[in-house]
Parts: sequence; structure tokens; C-alpha cells
Amino acid sequence: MGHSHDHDHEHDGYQTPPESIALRVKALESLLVEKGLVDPAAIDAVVDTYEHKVGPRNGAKVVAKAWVDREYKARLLSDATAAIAELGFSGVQGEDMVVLENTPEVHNVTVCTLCSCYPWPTLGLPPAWYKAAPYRSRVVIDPRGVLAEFGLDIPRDKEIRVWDSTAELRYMVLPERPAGSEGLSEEELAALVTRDSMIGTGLALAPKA
Amino acid sequence: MSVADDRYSLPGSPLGAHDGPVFDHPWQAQAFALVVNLHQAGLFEWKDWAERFTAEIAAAPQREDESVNDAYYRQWVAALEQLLAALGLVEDAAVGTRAEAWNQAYLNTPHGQPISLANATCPPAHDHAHKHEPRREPVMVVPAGGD
Repeated sequence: MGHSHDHDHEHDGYQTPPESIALRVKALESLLVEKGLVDPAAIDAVVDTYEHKVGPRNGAKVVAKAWVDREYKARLLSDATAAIAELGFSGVQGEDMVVLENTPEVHNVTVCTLCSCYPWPTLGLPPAWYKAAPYRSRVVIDPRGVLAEFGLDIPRDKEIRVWDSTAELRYMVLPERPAGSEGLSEEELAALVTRDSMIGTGLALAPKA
Repeated sequence: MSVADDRYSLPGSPLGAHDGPVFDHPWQAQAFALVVNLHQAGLFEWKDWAERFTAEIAAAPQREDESVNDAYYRQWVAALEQLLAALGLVEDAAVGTRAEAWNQAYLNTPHGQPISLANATCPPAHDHAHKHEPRREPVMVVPAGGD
């Protein structure tokens, strides 16, 4: 017989539908496109942006600039939304940003206890653990213990502040500049800034000796 | 279980390493983008979206057999459907009907061809056992005067 391909499929050469939730999303998208409420090209653009273009490198640039530029740091701590927009990063949701400075006396850590509000413009989309219930529920009860699970032991004599992001207000941490990083360029400094250090579940990396 | 104990986050990992995928499946990315686009089109305030999403997370938490992303985007899609119904933009029944049409479209579409909604009701020609190509000659001729 005239088989032009050699698929050996349960549907005898026809395609297998995806799981039902994928069909519902496809249904929503096609209905919304037909109503003129969304543009398929815009859907693709958003996916591309969040998969490839927006990520914690944006936040790392903000942090590195604040480490080398005292005036920028002052602006960042007084009006983070505007200071971050200076570097070209702004939110699609019109949310306000607040940057919290870690110091030798205070360690800040951020969470969204209700869902997963997160500073998209500077950090991209959140990691899986940030979206999961254990982190959301436990970091507000026992921050020191949760941070220890991330391998981060905060000394007893250091204050820990936990900040709860919301739809209107997103927190980001300005980590402490690591010792031994004097004389590094802004670009080299940015490479030391980890995503977790801007959430507060990690520290900036030490420079290679 | 430790909250940091997942393959997506190792302590002290360099930026971007061990992050894991933001989306586990294409439908998750599409659902994410739908909400962002509808908000950008001015159909709802982000705050209203977050409230509904938060309520859905509380009402239908992650199940044992689900990954974080599968649970998160299941809640995301459910919240989106509720919001669209509440705004009178897309009714629940219409979503079900259209989802079934897509299901049929997959079943009717041969491998290697793009899935089109039209295939749900009118399957495309397929070079296969039940080949049905146009022929410019009769498929059967009964000669005159046979009896």
C-alpha cells in the first residue's frame, strides 16, 4: 500500500492529541484570536521575551551599577522603579519596585506568600521553588531555617527581614558587595550577582582569587 | 522535604545555572502569554488577575503527582478561564466545545501536516490506506448492454 511514511502509531498515521489542558489553552487562544482580543504574533513575542530575553542578568546589571555608582545606588534605594527603568527595564504590569539593601547588620529575603509575585523586569520568571507552597509558607515562619536549607547560614546576631511581594509591589534584594571585589569592572561585578542573591536566598559570589 | 531541595536550585549556583525550565510544556508558555497580552490590551487590572490566581492556588493546591510547573499552570489556566467568564468574554461551554474540536482536529490530521481547526470537521486528503485523491476518470464503469 501507499504508505509514504513509516510511523507506527496508534492512530494509524494520524496525530495524537495533547493532554486535555493543552487543548483547553489552544481553545482559549483560538477563541480570543477570533474575537480580536489577542494577536497570535504578540503571544509568540511574549513567550520569546520571557524565555530568552528577560532574566536575572537584568537584575545583575542593576546591582553591579549600584555597587560602583554611589548616586545610582541612592536613587535605586529611594525610587527603585525609576532607577531600574533608567537601565531600560520596566514591568508590563505597571507594578512598583522596591530594592532592599543587605548590610552587615541586616539580611533581607523576599517571597510572595499568596502566589508568586516576583520582579519580572529584573529577574525574569521565578524558579520553581519560589512558586511552590513549602517556600511560600515556611520562609515567613522560620526564615533562618529555610535559608540554611539553601546553604546560607545567617549568623544569630544578624537581623533577618522577610518581605512579601504583591501584585502592586515587588521586592528585590541588593546583596552585599563581596569582599575582594575592589577594582573589578562593572561587568565583572555583574557576573558575581546570582539570582538567589537578589531574592535573598543566596549571597553574591566571591571573586575568583 | 527541604524547600531548596529541588533540581532547579543548588546553593551558590551561578546565575542562570540549574534554573530549570521556566515552562515545562508549550501550553504553559501560551497560557502565560495569553494573560500578559490580555492585561496589556487593557482587559483587566493585574491586581484583579492576581487575586483570582491567588484564590485558585489556595482552592486547588499542588498534587503529589504534579510538578511545580504543572500545578502552577493548571491553576493559572483555571484562573484565566474564570476571569474570562466573569468578564463575559469567553464562556466555559465555548471552551469545552472548542477544546473537543481541537481534539478531533488532531485525530483527523495526518502526521507531518499542520493542525488546523478545519480538520475537525473536514479531514484533509491523506496518502494512506484510505487514500481519496481526486480522479479524473470513473472509478467504476458498467458497460452498456450487459444484461
